[in-house]
Amino acid sequence: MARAEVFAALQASIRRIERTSAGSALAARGRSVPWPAMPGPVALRGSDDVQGARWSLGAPEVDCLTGGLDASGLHEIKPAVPGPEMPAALGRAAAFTFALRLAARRLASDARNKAGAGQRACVLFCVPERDRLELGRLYGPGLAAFGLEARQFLIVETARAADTLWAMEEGLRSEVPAIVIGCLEDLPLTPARRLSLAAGQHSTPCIALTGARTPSAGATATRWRIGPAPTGSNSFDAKSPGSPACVAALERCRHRVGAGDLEPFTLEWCDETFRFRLAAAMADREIAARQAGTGA
Amino acid sequence: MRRAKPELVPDDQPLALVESGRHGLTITAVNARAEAEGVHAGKALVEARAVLPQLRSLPADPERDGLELLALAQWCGRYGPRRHRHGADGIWIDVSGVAHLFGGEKELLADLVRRLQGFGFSPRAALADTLGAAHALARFGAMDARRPFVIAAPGGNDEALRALPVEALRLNPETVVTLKRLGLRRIGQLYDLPRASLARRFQDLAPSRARGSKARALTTDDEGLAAVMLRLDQARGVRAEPLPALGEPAHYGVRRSWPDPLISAEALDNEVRELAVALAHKLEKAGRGWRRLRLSLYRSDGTVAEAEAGTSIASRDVPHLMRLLGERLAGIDAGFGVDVAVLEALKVGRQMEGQDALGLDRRSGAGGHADDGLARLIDRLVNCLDGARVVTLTPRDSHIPERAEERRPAFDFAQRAAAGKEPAKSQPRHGARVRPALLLDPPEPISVVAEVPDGPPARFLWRRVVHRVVRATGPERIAPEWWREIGLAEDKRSRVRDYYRVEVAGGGSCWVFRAGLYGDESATRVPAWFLHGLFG
Repeated sequence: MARAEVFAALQASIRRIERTSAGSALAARGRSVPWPAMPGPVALRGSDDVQGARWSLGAPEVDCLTGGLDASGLHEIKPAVPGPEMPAALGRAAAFTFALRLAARRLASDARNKAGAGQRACVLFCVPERDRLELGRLYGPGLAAFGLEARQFLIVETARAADTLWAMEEGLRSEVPAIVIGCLEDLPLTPARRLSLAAGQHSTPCIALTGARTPSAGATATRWRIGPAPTGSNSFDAKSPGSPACVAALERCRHRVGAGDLEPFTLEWCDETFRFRLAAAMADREIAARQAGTGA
Repeated sequence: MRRAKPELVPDDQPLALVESGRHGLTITAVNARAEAEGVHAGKALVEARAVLPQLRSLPADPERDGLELLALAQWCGRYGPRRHRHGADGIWIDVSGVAHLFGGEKELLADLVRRLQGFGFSPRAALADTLGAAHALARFGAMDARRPFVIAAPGGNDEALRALPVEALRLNPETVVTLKRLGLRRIGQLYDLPRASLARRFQDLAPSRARGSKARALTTDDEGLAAVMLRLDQARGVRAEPLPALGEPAHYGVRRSWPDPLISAEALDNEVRELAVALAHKLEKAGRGWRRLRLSLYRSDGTVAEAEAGTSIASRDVPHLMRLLGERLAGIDAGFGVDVAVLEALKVGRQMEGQDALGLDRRSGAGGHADDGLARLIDRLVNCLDGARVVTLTPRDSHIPERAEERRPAFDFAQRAAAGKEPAKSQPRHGARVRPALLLDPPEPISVVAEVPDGPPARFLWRRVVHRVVRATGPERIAPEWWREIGLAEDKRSRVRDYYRVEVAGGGSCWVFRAGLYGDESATRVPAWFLHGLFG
């Protein structure tokens, strides 16, 4: 019917208009997310076994969307644009902890797949001195909530941004770390391509944490934009914070065209099974949990 | 002791070092203030405390003292080539023929004493013809406080030793007691005694002491007499005393020079590689590997260019070294050409077995290869980045959050891992102890609106933004480590902290704490709030 088509066209154009402003995309929390059915390899056995060189986030919907994260690629994580109510540090902390959780997932899947054959359980973490003052330093005892141990980390604190890039590339080429994470201010095209090439040649994933407002690099396998979200409900005490959560927007996914057009969704992290979980909007969270039947 | 931890050694309070012995804690050393109050080494700690209640005590560490003394003896090589440590707290130096370099014997001793005082020691020095005489004069000779050294005139040993007590000869305590019983208190009295009568006197004393174990007492006394005579003769210079000296530390270095100075980068690269191969060969014969190297290139216009590199485990791997030095070498300007190149290993370590052939295939096989890869990565990162720090985190046993982990340079980590000493496994997760992933150092002060006495914050101002708290959990009370703050004034001590994990409106969790308690009248400071970490 013509009316239905006109209506659908209007809805599509409204959605397109709303999506173009990146800041407001993250303000759309609490809306229930229409989840499209994406084509592609659907059979991810369990959600942990990834075929070939990919690792999963543990949430089946997100894995169907991305097809698993490429373990030989460069992934960029940007924090949400800071606003009057959200200071930069909280947004960056959210992005930072998201990267740590991805690293934990990577180490877990790496251990499962390559058990006994020279597994590398080392995370190389490169951070310039500046960020230490703003965000603080990585704290070993706090890593247990991610499923990581402090002795798996090798931390390089550099004086200049160019040194951070060099250290990340060195780590990728040495094939010693299981994953390389670096905090960079911005990532121009050439260094991004170098990192991407190095990651591909030596089969080591690389995560770059860039600034909120800097232009995005072009050579990344996936690009995420992460912002802080209210935590899940705590089943023991209504006044305590629950499981940590973040609002994630997948802005770019190289091998899945169209995955980047989705609205931001809320991911909760379960610190008992060390997996992500797609959290529905606050209003119908219980319904979604019952329907999905997933949870932990 | 003073050098290692100066803050623990108060100048104005009496301090003693104690060691546990057969009868409880005995004092092994005292500082000047304690000595002035009448406490001496050898007393039991309880007696000393009865005399001087405010005596503080710290455990003695004789091994470490011994190593320090050895290092100091090594340093004393500037006063003479032969030297060694002597006993637990002395050094002997053979200065024959050296005195004129310092302008005389008195100037030599004055210089030595001044430098040792500069290091923080209180030395007593003596110069004499024989070791025995010098020992006696140094320990028991009369010196004044400003110039604590004594010089015996050449050939004047007998005169110098005459007035000293018999303990100055290096004898057993039992022998000293026997001598004193015989009425021989000064060394001068021993000079003219006929040996035979002395032997008889020792024998006479033997039956009264033989009520215990007869045969043993007799031989002890015989030996005691022989020892007395030996020491006396050695001190007077009648009998010679062989003195083993401290050897010089081995030096591993190779040097090469060329008739035509090298200018091109490839030639320099090749020659440095040859030097490294030669050094590796030399180290292989000694069974060691380099840990820190210095390459000095002497140019033909008289200037020197240096490059240093360090590795995290001892190795002799030449390609790895070339990779570490490569970038530095490329940055060195050859100027008018390099005439001489010297490659020396400043620090060597014992080479671990099985690491001669560091394989290229890093991923396969045993942990040995994986550790090599890690060590090489660490080497590259440390050597090629200026001003960067490569650290690993190890847990430390402490409740205070900022002290609960230690950041160690990665060099040590690789060395210890290679030696098989794994760092302690991290603590199992405690369900209740939730810690943030990011810790601010130092904690940032915030202004808080909270319920007194121990409610969580309701609203706080951090970095000029007001945050409203939606949910909170806590408090977790962490008391300060009082044993580390003994002696600090009350307003410098740390206070009890109550930690809260708070979630702000809009998402994001922080770890805040309040230092001090409300309602604590004895405290002089108002409780203050800080933000310590971010959970994300």
